[in-house]
Amino acid sequence: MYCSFESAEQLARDAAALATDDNHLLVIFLARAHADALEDIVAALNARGQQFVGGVFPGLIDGPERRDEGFIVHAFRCLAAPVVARLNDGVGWLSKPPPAEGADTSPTLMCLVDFLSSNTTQLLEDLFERYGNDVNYFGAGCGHATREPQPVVFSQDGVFGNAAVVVLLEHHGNVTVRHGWNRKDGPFVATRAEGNVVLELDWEPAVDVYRRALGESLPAEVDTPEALGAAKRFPFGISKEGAEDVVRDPLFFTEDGKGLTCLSAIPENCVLHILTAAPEDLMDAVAQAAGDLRESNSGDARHCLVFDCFSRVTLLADDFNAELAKVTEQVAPLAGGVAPQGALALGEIASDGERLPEFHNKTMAVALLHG
Amino acid sequence: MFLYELAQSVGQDLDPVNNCKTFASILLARRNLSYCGFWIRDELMTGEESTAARLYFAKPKRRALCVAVEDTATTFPNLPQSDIADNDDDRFEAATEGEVAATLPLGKIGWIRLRSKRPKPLPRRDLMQLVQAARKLGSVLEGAFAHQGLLREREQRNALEAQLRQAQKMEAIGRLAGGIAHDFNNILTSILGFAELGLMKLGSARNPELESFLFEIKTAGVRGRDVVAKLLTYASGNSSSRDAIDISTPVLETVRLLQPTLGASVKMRAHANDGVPPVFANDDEIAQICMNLCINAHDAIEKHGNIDIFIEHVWQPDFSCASCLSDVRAQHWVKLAVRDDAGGIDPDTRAHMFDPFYTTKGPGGSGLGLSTVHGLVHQHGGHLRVDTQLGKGSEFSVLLPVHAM
Repeated sequence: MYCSFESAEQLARDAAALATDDNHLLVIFLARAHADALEDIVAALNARGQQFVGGVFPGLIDGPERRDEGFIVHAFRCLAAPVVARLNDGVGWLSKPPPAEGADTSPTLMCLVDFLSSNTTQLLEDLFERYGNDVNYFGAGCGHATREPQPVVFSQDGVFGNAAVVVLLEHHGNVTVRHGWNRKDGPFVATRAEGNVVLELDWEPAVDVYRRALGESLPAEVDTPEALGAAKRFPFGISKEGAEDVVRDPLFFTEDGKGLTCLSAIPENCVLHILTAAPEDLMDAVAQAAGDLRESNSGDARHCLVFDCFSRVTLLADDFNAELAKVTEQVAPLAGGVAPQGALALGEIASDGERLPEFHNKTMAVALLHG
Repeated sequence: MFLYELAQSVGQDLDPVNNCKTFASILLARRNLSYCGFWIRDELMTGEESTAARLYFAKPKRRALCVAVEDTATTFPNLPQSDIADNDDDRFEAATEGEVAATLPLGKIGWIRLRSKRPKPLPRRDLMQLVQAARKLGSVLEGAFAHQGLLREREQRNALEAQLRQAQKMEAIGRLAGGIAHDFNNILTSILGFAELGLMKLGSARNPELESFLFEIKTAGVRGRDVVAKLLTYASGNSSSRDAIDISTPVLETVRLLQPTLGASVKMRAHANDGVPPVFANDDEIAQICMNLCINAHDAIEKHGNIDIFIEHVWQPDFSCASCLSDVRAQHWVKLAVRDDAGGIDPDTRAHMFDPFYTTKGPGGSGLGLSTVHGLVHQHGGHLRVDTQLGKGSEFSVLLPVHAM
């Protein structure tokens, strides 16, 4: 349900009205315009004794419409209380993650994580180690596109920055993630990389190789907004056998102008391609995602959640609303006509548990939740 | 295409687990696999001939189907690499519905088991790459295990050397103490004897000042004799008569004697279990052990506190003796434990507390209490354990061998 935001108390009241069952948990996507009220929102929800998790996003998706204000709230049945992981130094759980027991079909693990955290890969590996293919994974990176470190995820335990909130939803989910990017150049080996920064490609400074591959597309001066804008259109893709490349979004050039800092980790020695996409390719991702869901859908989905990367708003410009309309048109029929709702995310997570969950960039993740 | 990354991922660490972890992460992430398990031959780990193997590392662990096999020949048919070209599918077996599994040799040391949710097996070229990467990992792991073995050996040697040093120190101090005690005893005999003679000579003569001097000499001499007796006990110089006894009797008697002297601020409780088997010991010496430990516990308590004494029949797993440092194998013991809730013992004190004349009690302490306990306990074939936590308290456990009837 999409609601406009008037006050923390009004949010708590509207959200609580959805929780009709004792084991109902509220999942809240809050537009960043109201991030200042986060503490009050948590206090108001706690005062009502609600179980909840949520995150702050640069924008919201309400069916075919993009919203910059308000909040989206859903009430889901959960298997256990949500848990918080601090990601300052590795993965530090505030309480022990519960076992995925008590559901008739494999439950859905929802994870909302601060996109600025450098330990998201470790978190996902930790979750995979705990839950394997017993659950479906779905989630997103929360935060402010300005990259200011602030508290951006919340639960009844409080508001947190550099952390993740994780909850096991009783609902079985069909999940998929698609991007529509195509390989432009490569392969290259990331011969030197540190966390999110790729320093060398094929034993040369990464930017030199990148510039050679892009030619005129990349301005001569790398520390200009134009250069960064160009880089946004040519992300990296980590090769993955039998699946789409995992996209890594370049965020900025390093100070010495030789390396590229990306949104998520680039493993050293991994094989990369430089990707490109025309707007119609990106929009093809919608059809691909709908196709995936159609194949796996058992037909009784009652909720449809979508996380679309915030960078796609810039890339698709005016076509972005068309993408949202296409999502609604193609996916809503699979969820009994319920329009997809979600957020503009800063990283997306979707996996059926048969493979390591990844923190994707520049993609669209969709989940149909059943029952 | 992934071979380079896989090959580079191994050998950067001397820890076998880290090598497996990195290799598995890359394999799962890039190859879209759902499970990767590393099986290592038992003989590599134990050095003994064996056909068994054990699951050493798995990702994710929860998908592992079993953790050990007895016969590797049937579980992991060791296919030569040339077989891959003849029939790729031989490498795969159905694991669960819609899933395929593959087993690849990990050099000579074990195998990698892979599972994947996919409609058809991996292409031959990919499989060949994996075989090569697995072989490289195998040789890296072999080196890493050898390195670990060396580290283990060095640790064991260091521990043995520490034991030997401790034993030599205790023996040297024992000999020195025994020698001094013997000579000192002769001197004390003269002092006490002449003090006694002096008192006799004085008889009924009215010289109270001289009489009090002689009494002081005698009292000091008797105190000196007690110290000598303790030194001789530490130095194993005394041999007492022993019987199969229930240690509850001397311990409870000691507690009964001590209780009134502790004052109201310290509560002392004894807990003797029923059915504790006898030990071959001397009543007085058991009482002396208990007395020393209780006095130490009392001295450790600053104002208010509790001292609990336990007598139990216990199964004690392998441990290192707190005073002689030797490794003691798991067995049944009769345990006498004295527990206090004082401030615990700091590491420096722990290192020296069984040394003779080491005391934390200032001029008032002889530094012979725990060294006497050490001597008596080891003369009884027993050992000591000390569990202590700063700010929480300490427990001294005397473990005495059960007497075989």
